[in-house]
Order: sequence, then C-alpha cells, then structure tokens
Amino acid sequence: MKKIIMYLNQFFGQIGGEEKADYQPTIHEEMIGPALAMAPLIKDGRITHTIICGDDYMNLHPEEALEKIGEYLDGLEFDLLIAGPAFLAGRYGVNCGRVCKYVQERFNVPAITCMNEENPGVDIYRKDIYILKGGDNAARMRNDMPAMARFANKLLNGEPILWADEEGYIKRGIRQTVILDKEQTAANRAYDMMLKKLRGEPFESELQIKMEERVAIAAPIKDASKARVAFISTGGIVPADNPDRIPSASSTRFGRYDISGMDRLEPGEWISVHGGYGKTHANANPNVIAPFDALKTLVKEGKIGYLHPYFYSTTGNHTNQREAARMAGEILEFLREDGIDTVILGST
Amino acid sequence: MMVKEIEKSGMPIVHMVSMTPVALSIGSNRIVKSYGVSAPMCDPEAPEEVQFKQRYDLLVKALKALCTDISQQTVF
Repeated sequence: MKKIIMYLNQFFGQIGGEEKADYQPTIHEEMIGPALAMAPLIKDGRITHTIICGDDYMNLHPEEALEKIGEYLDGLEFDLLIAGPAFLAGRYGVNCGRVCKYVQERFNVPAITCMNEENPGVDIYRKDIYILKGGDNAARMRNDMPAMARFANKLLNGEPILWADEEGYIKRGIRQTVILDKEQTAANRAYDMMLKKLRGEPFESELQIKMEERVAIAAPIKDASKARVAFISTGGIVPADNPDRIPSASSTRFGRYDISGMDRLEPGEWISVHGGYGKTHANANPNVIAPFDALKTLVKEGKIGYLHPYFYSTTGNHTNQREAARMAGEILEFLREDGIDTVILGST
Repeated sequence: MMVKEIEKSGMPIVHMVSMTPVALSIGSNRIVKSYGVSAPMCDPEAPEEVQFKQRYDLLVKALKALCTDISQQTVF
C-alpha cells in the first residue's frame, strides 16, 4: 500500500481565505479538503498526511516554509507528494511548483501538481516536475482530480510515463525515446494516418508543423524590358577575401558588392562561404549561384530595363527568421533609393 | 523570409529555388523551380554553352513570373 502526502494552501486546507494567507505550514495526519476527494481515486495507496501552508507565507518566506515542510517530512515514509490543483491561482500554482521541486530534490520522491497552462507556476517549474494540465477555476476540480489520480496511479505502479499530450501533463521540453509495441511502429502509425487522410477522416499530426505567415501577392510588373531589377542571393557568394566576413551559417549581415563594371562573376574572384551545400560548382563558376552573366546579357538585349549595380549577398543557412527579415528591410532601403521596382532572389 | 519581407512592401519579387516545397511552406508567392541546391541556376555537369543557355532561360522564366498576375502561390 503506497503512501501519499497532499499539499494544499490555506483555502483548500480549510483554514481560511485571504485573511489566512500568512498561515505557517502545518502537517496533519488526516485527509483534508481535496485529499478526501482524491483518496478513492487512488489505487493501492492512501493519503496519509495533509500539509497546509498559506500562499502569502510561502511566497514571502519560501526558505523558511520549505525548511519547515522538510522537517515535517523527515522521517516519514511516503512514495508521492501531490500538490494542488491550483487552477489559475498564481501564488498557489507557484507554491505548488516550489514544494514539488523541493520535495523531489530533497527526498528523491516524485511530486506532481496540476494547474492551468497559463498559471505562472508553469513557466517556472515545467522543466522540473510533472504538471498536469488543469482547469482555469475551482469548478474544474472534478476534471482535475481524476487526471491527477490517473497519473499518480501510473507513477505509483511504476508504469512507463509517455509523452506530455498522451499523459495530460504540460510539456517539459525533455525528449525521451520510448519503445512502443511493434504494432505501433512509426511505419504503422504513418500508414494509419495516411489512410485517414485519404479517406477524409480526422487525424492528428504527431508533430505540429508551425504554419508560416502569408503575405499579400504583389502586383506583377507590366513589362520586364522597362523594369528596374535587382538580384539578391542567399547562396553565400562573396569576394574571395570575404571582406564582410559573411559566415557559413546563422548570418546576421549581408554584403553589398558593386557589379556594375563586370559582365559576369569571375571564378577565383568570388567564392562561396555557405556551409549548407557542396561548394565545388559555386567556386568553379559563381554564376551557377548568382547568374550575373545571364543577367547582364538580358540587360544588353533589352529584355531587362535596368539592373541595379549592386549584388546583395548573404548565407541562407540556419538564418534566424527575425534577422532575415531585418536584412531584407535594409536591402529594400537601398533598392528604393535606386528606384528599383522588382527583385529576383536566388536561394540554394 | 527575405522574399516575404520584400513582398510585404508591395514590391513584386520572384523566388528562384530548387526546393520548391520549402518555398511554398514558407510562403513565397512567385516561385521558379530551379536546378539543384549546389547549382540552382543550371546543370553544372552540362557543357558550358548549355549551362549559360539554362541560366538565361531560367531568368527569362523568372521575369515572366514577375509579369504574371497570380491569385495564389504559384510555382513556375
């Protein structure tokens, strides 16, 4: 029969409301408040004690409060501590997290809590402890209790704990390899998902791919032969000495190179510094990345009205999105100064 | 990202890129399917005159894309 300690604040511990928030920690060899509701849901275990502490006291005197609680627990046999649930109560949520973390570290016993995802306690403690996803007010107690009990039972029974969404806890940012039964290999799961997709049945992606922002389609240019065009490359083509020290990845700057006097990029005078692709071809002929030979020809033939005399170049390899947008904005300034009305951007 | 930032300002832009699915998912609107990643503008194994023609033709396609009115993301 496993033993569980419950942690509650002054309100749920039935001491009082805000006026008792400075209540110092006490321990009781009985079940109080939510502990009574939790007890029947626990298999093979009983809640032996309830610890109560005022939310303000813990918040203002955390070291003293935790030390006192530590003293109470010292010498007690217990297999799990359950704190809360704290819903959206900020002080309570933070305190539940604090107590759980302390107990886990000091006694090497699992400690779990439950609160709404927006509770400030989540951001502070999510990495340290299991926080079950909870409701946003005390009326949700009847959902939160079974969720906590279900999880507690798994822990007490030594069952493998699966990933966050599966078990109902808040993602901790910890990756763990879980070996599933052979019926559930990725190949099988992918096949099942594909069948659902083909049949138009609802399915849920295991990995959420973030949807990118869309921008309004710009109106087309009317006539290329009259257009003022600029060329930008993210292929990392730079002058041979890389004067601007454009890096091979994670670039936060671009080069601006005068290409007005040349008919093409000469091999040897330009190199690639991009770390994301094999550079043999680019170094042998930079025009395979930045086709100025063809661009200049098109200008000569009158198929492009005007070519901006500068080549803008950076490395598009692990580029931070914010930096990329900033660089584009800076380049746009230069282009506007020159009355450029359209851009060709070459990626690799 | 850079393509979108420039297009946000109202300036038409064409994205010449090998991996068009990536360009589509990022949100580029006018996309020209280019050759390989390490040499997007032409086939580097082809004879030099052929390569030059490839670069030239690909750019002509890019210019055409810039002149084309589209209502959704389009790979040319």
